[in-house]
Amino acid sequence: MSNEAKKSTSDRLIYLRLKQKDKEAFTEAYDRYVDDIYRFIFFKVGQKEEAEDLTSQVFLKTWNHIQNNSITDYKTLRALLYKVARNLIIDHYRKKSNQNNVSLDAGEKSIDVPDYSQDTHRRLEVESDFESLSGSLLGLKDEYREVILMRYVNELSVKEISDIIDKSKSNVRVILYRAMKALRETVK
Amino acid sequence: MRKDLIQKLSILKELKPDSSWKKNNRSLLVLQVSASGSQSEIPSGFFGFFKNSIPYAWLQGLPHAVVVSIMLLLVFLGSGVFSLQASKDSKPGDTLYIAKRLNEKAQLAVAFNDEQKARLGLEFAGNRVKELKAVLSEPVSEQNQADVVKLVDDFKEKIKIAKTGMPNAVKPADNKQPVIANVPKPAVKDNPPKVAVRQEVPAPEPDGEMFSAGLKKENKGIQVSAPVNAPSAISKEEKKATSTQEVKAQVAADLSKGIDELMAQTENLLNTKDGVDAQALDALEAKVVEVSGGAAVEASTTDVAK
Repeated sequence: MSNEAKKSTSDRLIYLRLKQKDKEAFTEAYDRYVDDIYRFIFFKVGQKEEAEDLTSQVFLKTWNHIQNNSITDYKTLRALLYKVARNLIIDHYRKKSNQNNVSLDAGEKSIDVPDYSQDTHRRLEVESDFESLSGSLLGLKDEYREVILMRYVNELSVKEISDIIDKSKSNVRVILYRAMKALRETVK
Repeated sequence: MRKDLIQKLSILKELKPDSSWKKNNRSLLVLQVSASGSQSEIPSGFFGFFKNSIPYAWLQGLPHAVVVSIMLLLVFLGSGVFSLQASKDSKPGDTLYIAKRLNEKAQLAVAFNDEQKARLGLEFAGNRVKELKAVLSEPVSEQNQADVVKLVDDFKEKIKIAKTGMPNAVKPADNKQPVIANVPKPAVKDNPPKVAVRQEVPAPEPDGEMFSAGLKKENKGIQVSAPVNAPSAISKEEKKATSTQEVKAQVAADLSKGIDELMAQTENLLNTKDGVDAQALDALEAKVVEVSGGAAVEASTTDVAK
């Protein structure tokens, strides 16, 4: 069985246990996906505290959705988590735009470069790449940014991305192509 | 060009949440999730899920606790075997050493009887000697010295367990009749079998043989005497049972003596001014092996007697 298949099977088991209100399954899901979800949200909102807050909300809301069966159009637990994350981010910006008139595709948004590396040389190197890439990503439109994050940073498959954003696989491939082209233009 | 960009993007994977936030957040979320709704009737946890996945109605009907116990036993047996094997040669400071010590504790806890405890005590005492040798072969350090003291203390502890188990292994039954009394009494009334438990050793019967599992430090013993000149009314089976019991008692006596000698050797080990003597340690290890061999013989005579 391939790694993808194995992960999908264990995902399914976690989901079934979550349906039974199994708190250990909740902890497992959290440990498995918190890094990816946090990263996804962070590159969308750009602020550490907001990303942490929204990440917590993603897991709570996902738990509630599973218990209430209020979202049914997803194939995997991972897809559900990303769907919930996207919806929360949209709500988050809606609230913010009501307060500050900030657009979703903000060009002026700054991203806090986190101090996550112990080795100084490596940290500087990574910080430099990180800053240039994150700046470039910010310059992209939201749709391009999120498919790049999901595909090349969080390593979701095209099929999973199509489940999450409700588009066909061929459509996703086209968006990915265009997104990478746009990113290359800004990185130059 | 595209591949370079994809490779660069992978750097962004290094972004992760703070580990302390992650940990605290996990606890908070679990609390919130617990408070969010009452438990369903279906038992939660892995075992609850497993139980509900089992297709057989009869197994599903088992109480939850029984299923959990079976699962735990399977996991314990499986992991116990593998981890014990892997940790067998570990010593203080090794990653698996804690697993080794926990396994020893678990084995002592589930020992069926004092006899088994005594054997385990000897085995684990032997482990301490091996570990002592391993630790002493390392460069001297404060940690090293502390480990030596702990190992010697535990060695003594294990020998005590072995010693405690031994007298009980040959103790008479609670109904005041000794094990030997399972042998039918001879028809002769003049010289009935005499048994004294935990009393002063009396003078030997002139016409009897006496076997004593005497303990050096105490003047107490279990002694059994059976008149050898009993009339031929004693059957072959009775004679066989008597001789087996006698062998058993002798083996137990030898074993107990061996354990006492081990304890004495341990004291000497500690009293050397220059620290633990390597030769003394070798001698101790050999003694443990010898006494453990005696314990195995003792066990086999017990089985035969049964």
